Amino acid sequence: MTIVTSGLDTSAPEYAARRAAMLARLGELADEHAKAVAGGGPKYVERHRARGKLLARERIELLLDPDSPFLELSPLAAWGTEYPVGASVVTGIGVVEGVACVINANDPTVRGGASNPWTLRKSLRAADIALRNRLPLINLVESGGADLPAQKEIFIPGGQVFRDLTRLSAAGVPTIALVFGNSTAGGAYVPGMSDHVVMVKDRAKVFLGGPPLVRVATGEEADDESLGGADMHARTSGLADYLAADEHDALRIGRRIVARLNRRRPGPASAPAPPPLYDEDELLGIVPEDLKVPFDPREVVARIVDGSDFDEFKPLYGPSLVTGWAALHGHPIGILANARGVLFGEESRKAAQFIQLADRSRTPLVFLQNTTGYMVGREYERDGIIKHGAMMINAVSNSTVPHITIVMGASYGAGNYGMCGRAYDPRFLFSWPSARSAVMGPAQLAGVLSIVGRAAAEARGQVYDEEADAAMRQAVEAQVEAESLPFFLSGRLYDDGVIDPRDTRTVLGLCLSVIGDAPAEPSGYGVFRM
Amino acid sequence: MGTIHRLLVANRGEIARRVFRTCRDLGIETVAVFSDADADAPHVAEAGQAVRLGGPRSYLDADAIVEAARAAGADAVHPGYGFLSENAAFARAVLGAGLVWVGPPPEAIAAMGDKIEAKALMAAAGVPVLPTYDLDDGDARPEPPLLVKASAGGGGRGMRIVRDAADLAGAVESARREALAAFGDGAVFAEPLLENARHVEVQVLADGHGTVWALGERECSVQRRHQKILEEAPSPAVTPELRRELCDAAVKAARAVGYVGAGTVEFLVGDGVVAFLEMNTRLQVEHPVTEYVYGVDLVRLQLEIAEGAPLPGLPPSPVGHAIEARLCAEDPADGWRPRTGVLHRFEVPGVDAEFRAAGTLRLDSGVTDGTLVGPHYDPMLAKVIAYAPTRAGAARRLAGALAAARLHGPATNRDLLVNVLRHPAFLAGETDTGFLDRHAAAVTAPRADADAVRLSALAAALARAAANRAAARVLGELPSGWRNVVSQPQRSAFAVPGESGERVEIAYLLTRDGLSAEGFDGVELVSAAPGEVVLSVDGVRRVFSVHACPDVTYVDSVLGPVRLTPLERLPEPVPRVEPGSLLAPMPGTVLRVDVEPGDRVAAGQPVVVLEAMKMEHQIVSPGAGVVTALDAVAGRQVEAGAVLAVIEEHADDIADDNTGTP
Repeated sequence: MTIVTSGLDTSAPEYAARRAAMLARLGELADEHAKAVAGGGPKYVERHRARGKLLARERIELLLDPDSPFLELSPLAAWGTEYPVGASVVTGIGVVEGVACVINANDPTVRGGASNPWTLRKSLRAADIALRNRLPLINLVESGGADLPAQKEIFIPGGQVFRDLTRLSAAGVPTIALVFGNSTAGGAYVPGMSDHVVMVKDRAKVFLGGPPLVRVATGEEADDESLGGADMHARTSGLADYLAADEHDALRIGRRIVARLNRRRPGPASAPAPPPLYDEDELLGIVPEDLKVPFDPREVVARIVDGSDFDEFKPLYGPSLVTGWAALHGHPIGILANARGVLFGEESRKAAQFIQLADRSRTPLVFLQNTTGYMVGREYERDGIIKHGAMMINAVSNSTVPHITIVMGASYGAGNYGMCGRAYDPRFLFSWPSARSAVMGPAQLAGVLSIVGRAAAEARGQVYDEEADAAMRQAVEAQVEAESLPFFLSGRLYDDGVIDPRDTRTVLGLCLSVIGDAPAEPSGYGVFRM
Repeated sequence: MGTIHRLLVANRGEIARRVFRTCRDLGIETVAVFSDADADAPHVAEAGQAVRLGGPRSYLDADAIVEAARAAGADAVHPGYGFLSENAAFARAVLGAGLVWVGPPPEAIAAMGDKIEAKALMAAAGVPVLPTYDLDDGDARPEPPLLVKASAGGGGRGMRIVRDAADLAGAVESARREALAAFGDGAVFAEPLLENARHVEVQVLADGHGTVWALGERECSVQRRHQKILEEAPSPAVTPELRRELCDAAVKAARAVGYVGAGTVEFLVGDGVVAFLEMNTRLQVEHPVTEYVYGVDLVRLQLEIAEGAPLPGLPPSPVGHAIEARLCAEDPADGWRPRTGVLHRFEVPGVDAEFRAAGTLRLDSGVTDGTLVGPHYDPMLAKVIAYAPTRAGAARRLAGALAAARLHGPATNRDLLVNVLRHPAFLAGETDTGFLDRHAAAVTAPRADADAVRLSALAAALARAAANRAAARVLGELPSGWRNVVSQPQRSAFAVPGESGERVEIAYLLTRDGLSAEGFDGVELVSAAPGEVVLSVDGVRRVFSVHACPDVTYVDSVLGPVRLTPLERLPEPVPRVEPGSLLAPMPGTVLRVDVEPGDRVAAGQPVVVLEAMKMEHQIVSPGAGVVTALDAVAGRQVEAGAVLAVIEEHADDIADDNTGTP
């Protein structure tokens, strides 16, 4: 046992200020989540209910095992775009009949559940999670198809939805479609490509061409029910395996299908897990509002790992990066956490070595990001900071154990890469409301632009307009700041969601559990440039 | 007569266990008998040997029981109460087989068994009696109100109240039928109905050496349908003078028939009236109250008398007060109808002794956890007896024990017993036979009110959530119902058993800030485990014990016991297609209909012929039955799945072997 000693002074005014700031951001997060939950708004929700239909999240709640957890993915998708927050689809990981599954549910109250470009990206991300972690994918289908004005962004890449379904099946990951309503044209291939299909009587409508198209194309007069009703598909076309009497029945049958999938959990059973010794609530008061002020990530580790028990690796070497071993809800993990933001050569080499060790022992890695990037300057370039950073990025890229990244604070520059940013394909990536991510800090970026502009003006022999420069710097700084905020990045699917810091242990526990459902991959490395 | 080594108890349930307890104390080996329905009953399990008798009524089969005693090597038979306990022929058969009969001489049984004769005998011996009306005498026109009684009976069976002379013939007829079925003797008689009188009885013990003890009275006035549910000793209405009078009369009665053994002389005590009712020539159900107050073991004395021993010295003096409650699987709110089913849990807290008058709380139970309460026998599950220096103390002790008992199974009269024991009129000693009718509304109400039911349902939902988490195969370690995006509460719905058909829906969220449940302001969750939930309601902590059984969840708390039926979130849909429907296997045209509605059809018989894809398809009846619906019409187009006809399976071959038992 190596218990982390906490130096957090919860009676200090700074702690109270940090906590208050974090709570304010959590309030904003709750407001944004509420927008996603509100779907198409009261008018469309009522219209949907008046038809005797359940809302997307109600369907999910009934599908899940009672009282089991559900991790909604990308709830802020489309934030900051012209489309509603949530992107007219609900995705997440939940437990059905004791089996962790990925669920993808169209929200028909938002423009009839039509797909926009963000819907597509969110659904593809969910399918990717299903494939990587070998989780059965359950589609709760009721969608008007593509949002036609945006078809150019959807039609061609959208084919991946159907390709993913059959690739999941080919990989031995079951796919299930419960069709509650429209699933027409291209959407018809969701049930079409699924292993198991349930359709709700008098509700499901699955055809390639509806009555108007059929009339135009062939002159045939046909109604919805005869073209693609659930009854027809269950009795005649065979596209439906099960005819559900109503929505509840469809969910019941869906649960029975999962119960009969014969899914066994291949990973090791997790050991008994003592909770952290420190109060998770204190996670609210650790990250300073001003990310220029560093904080000790051990305070975070102490509040998320089992028994606050953390064995640090190379504690005296490269102290700007904390590395070490712990368990979380019984799952062994290796942790890499930025301590003072900047990554130097020692930190990079330490990280590369630590990642190799984790790979050898098949230990999943958790990255706790608060980095301003790799150190710049003559001395560091001469010392080979690029080589050392490359070593770390090489190790991260080619490591074959699962990675999970939490962006606690700053994630700037190549530090984002070395610490397993989105492009490095961690199994999961979540942000705290305090996160910021950009190529560099907004002030630095504005300053660089200013210097470059001044040099260009001077080269042309012009007088630099200082007033315009100040305005430009302010505007750029504001724009970069806005675009580095977690809601904005989450809206663009650069993470899997913004989470309450107090939920970090729960989220990681859930992710580590489903990662454990994926078989161990062989380990191997590229060549390190030494 | 001689020393008893191995005793057969010709009975079941708690009384068999009660006799076995004394046998164990005395070192006597035990033999149980059992019907097929009782093969797994507790009394069978705890006997040294057990002999199967047969069908549900086989406890009345005297020959089989004597044969059982012989087969098991018993040298004595104790009849318990009910069944053959007051059957002189059985006593003779036991004695004739050379066995010791733990009971009075057959002649005494016979003399008292015929109530009409017994009353005459008592009157002659100077015991006060009510007039008897001979119902076979067409000239006798007794004035209502009357009580029609079975001459051979007991326990309220074969008994009818007649308030209108026009009802007499019908009452006599039905009483006769019931008496014949129950006792094998249809003789009935009538006597004046003494309303709101008290039922007081005196325990007597007589040895074979001429000594007769009268061990005071028991009051058994709180009755439903002439069956006792609460009995106590001494009676709150009996003065020392009246006690002397009753005891003297009881001793006279015993001597008049040459009584030996334990018996009970019953009296009606009204306004200035004392009348002999009958003598029960056996041990009474309610004997424990006398055992507490007099400090005796009546079964032990019965056995010793049967072995020929004299009663030891003078009768003991009474000390304190004892009350017995009969816990029955019956629903007072539904006309006292008996209830059957599995008794999943039977627990009475604070029991000091079982089948023995010791301490302050005694339990004589015929059931244990898991006992199947069947329809064949008396619905009494157990007797709970409290003893205290005062009557009020005994009532409080008994009410407390019953209120806290865990009775998870068929509905019982427990709440009624508690309500009676806490009722001011009961505590004031106003316990005549009209008590329950007079206070019906107050005592039949369940103790748990609507708020208690809702809180209990909340506790049941939270206990179930805890059970779900504990049983989770994956992610069980994560917080219950955790969501990163909260959209709605978890939901649980329960039906409240009973006529109301009421549903209770619980919507709850468990977050890091605790419980929030719709409509439960001021309720905080202190702890939740699958078996126990602690809620704080407006600052007051209460423990709810939750026991989830198949179909029913039982919640016990200080607010009263609540039974809830959890409702499935996703129930299987009720099939819309009638059983026996013949469906079109494919779209087509009806070519021919071979039957008419009401026709009887045999299995495999063609019903409809369908033409589809240029082929004829015969739709045949799946079994023998009657055509109850015919939707097919020749020439009509039908869709796949359309109902063509409905064949109702015929019930001719289902034998009616429901012989019915009392």
